[in-house]
Amino acid sequence: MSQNQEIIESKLCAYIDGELDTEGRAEIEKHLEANPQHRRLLESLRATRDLLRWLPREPAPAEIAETLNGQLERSVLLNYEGEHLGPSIWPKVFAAAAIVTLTAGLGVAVYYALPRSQSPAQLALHTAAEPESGNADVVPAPLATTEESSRNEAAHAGGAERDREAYASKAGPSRMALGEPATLTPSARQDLADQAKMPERLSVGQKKSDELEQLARQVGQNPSAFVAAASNGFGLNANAVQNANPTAATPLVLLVKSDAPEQTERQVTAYLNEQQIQWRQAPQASPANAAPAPAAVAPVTQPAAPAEAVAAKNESSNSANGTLGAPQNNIAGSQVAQQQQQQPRQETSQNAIANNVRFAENVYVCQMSRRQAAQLSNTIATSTTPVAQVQDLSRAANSIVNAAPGEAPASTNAVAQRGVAGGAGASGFGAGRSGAAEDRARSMKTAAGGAEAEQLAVAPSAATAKDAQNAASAPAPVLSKADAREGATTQPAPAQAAGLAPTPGSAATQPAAVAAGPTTAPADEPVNVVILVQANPAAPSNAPAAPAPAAPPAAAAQPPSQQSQQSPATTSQSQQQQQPR
Amino acid sequence: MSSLSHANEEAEGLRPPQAAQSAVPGDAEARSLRPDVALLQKAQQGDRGAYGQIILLYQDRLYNAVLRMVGDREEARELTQEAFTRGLSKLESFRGDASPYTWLFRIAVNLAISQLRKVQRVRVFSLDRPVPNGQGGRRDSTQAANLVDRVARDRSELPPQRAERRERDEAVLAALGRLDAEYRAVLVMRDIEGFDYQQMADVLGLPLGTLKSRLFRARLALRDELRTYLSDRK
Repeated sequence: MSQNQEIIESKLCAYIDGELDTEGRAEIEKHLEANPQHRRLLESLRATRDLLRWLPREPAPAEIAETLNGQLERSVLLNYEGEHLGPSIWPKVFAAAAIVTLTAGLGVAVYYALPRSQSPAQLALHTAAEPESGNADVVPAPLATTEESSRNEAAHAGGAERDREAYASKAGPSRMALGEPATLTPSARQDLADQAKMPERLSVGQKKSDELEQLARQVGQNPSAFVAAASNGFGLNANAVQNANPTAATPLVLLVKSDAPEQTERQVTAYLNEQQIQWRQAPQASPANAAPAPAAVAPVTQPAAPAEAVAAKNESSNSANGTLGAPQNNIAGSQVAQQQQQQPRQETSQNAIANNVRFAENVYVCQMSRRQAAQLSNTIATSTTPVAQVQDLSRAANSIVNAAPGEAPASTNAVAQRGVAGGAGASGFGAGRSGAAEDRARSMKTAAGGAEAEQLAVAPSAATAKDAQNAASAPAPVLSKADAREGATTQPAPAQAAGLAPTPGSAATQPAAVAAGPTTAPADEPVNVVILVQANPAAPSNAPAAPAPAAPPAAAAQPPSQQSQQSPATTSQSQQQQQPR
Repeated sequence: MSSLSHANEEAEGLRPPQAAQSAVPGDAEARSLRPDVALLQKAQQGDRGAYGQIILLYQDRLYNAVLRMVGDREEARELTQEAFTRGLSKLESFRGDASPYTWLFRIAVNLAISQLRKVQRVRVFSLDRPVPNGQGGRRDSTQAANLVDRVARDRSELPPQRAERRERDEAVLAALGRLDAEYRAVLVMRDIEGFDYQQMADVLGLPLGTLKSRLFRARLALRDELRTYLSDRK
């Protein structure tokens, strides 16, 4: 709008309203005389103004004054300020605040009112605190009794709430509220299944804790049986092996023979504490309890064989069983073994039991995975001070654990009655407590890279006398093809089932096989582990640490087809076992 | 000064009513004291009753002005009530440089313009409840009311003429409802409320020239809206 036009319009407006001065009015009238159409325009505008002025006036509704005066009176009475008059936003604010408060209060009430189960972290704390309190019988109350209740409690578990929110985001809120996992996506369904297994795992963990207690008691009652099993190997425990429950509950029994048992025990407990593994120390087997066990099994009817003879038997037995450490004596040794199969072996067994029981120091029971067991065994075996050896007695011990408390362990009976198949180490222990026999046995063990290891490795192949004969006739029965196939397919050999590889390496290399060997439970699945620590009766105090003999390794003694079937873990173990300890 | 200005001054308390002048002719102080200003000063001092009297004094005029602007009675009632409430909460903002009604009308017209801009709707004015002239209806002492009453009195209230007047008022209100909010405001303030140019400029915050130009354009727009009615009358 131009300035001139605005001035003209303002003058015309003032002219219509009669508020223009005389000079301006004269100027406009002069213009209107020359332009009659402008005059008509101004007259129409004046008529329009009059129409507005003639509009009727409407009175205000009475409620305006009444409402305002009422508010004024209330403000006077209540001493309110003027801003409280009229419609206010505060009622809405108060209403919204009340809704929020009620909702939050209801949420808090529901949160605290609903029963809550222990979260995994709380359960872990509780479980970790149990050994210190010594009250192992206290069982957490909310542990599930049935699967359904476990799932319900898992839904309320604090640790699972975040996962449940994640599931809700995947599956939609309404379905999750109704608890209909059928509409979940596959990933969410899998997560839900994992979540549902959580309390089961907790329950299983508690059950394992109970089993641990029971196992500790049983081991404490029958420590000699374990040691006897260590001495006798697994050859005569075929029934026990067959009856063994190949489940994760099968205890893994490790016999640790150490030059310094106390240091080794400290190593064991340090490792267990470091790994935060729950462990128990089995009640110390008193001589009154330990000694009668073998005596009650089978009385010693014959005197112990001479040490030399026993040593010779050991040597021949090792050869007959395909000892990897002495393959050069296989043929001759097998012939001797055939002769030995015909001799009663109860004597050797009883002597071995009696001697080994005396060396049993402490028994530890714990739950750990096979991987951890292998790591522990490796730690112990690779330590230079003290020198310790680790053996796996799992299958033999299983029958002991399965025996009823108080009765004579079946394996012990079996050991006592059936004799020892190739108990080189056992015979060595039993007969070689002193003198040349012991030195010979020790030297044999050293030369073989660990007599116990050899014995455990080849024991399945010589479970019976017939097997021993067959093994003796074999040219290099380190691990026969049939045995390997049998152990790998139909009936796992005890050593293999226990995770031991049939290799002639030292005991230090065996723990690696504990985790790598064929197991019925995953490597990370916790299993009951019994650790027997005893003094090594044949501690090579002055014996030189002879390297492993340059004998052909197991892989070399096996046919090419067998080599190809050998697992990489076994191959690596064989390579490790060739290294001098 | 025209009669319109005198009536306006009476309505805003600038000029005491004729009855008051005659009742207290010699009291210069009473003549100089504007009743609405005195009431507002009392209200500023915390006298809620004084503000209640201001409400009673201006509610009809303010309501009518707001009604002509927004075209809806209920909305006009709410806006009028809100204007009085805000006036009470902003009593300290009144400094006396304008009349109390101008101060209140500024609040009300701002509320009405904001409401019209917010709603952006064209209202259809009607005269469903016309004021019964001279028959017990409330009378305002404003110049517009006097003018309307005067016109009504001058005319004979025959039924045909009454119907014609109703038709005319409806047409004017409908045309007014079709104008922009700014044009409505200046037309209501000038032709219905009788504000002078300076008061209008103060309320709207416009220069005088701009205000007059806007008023001229608003009248042109209203005339265009009433062209059909005016041509029919001719």
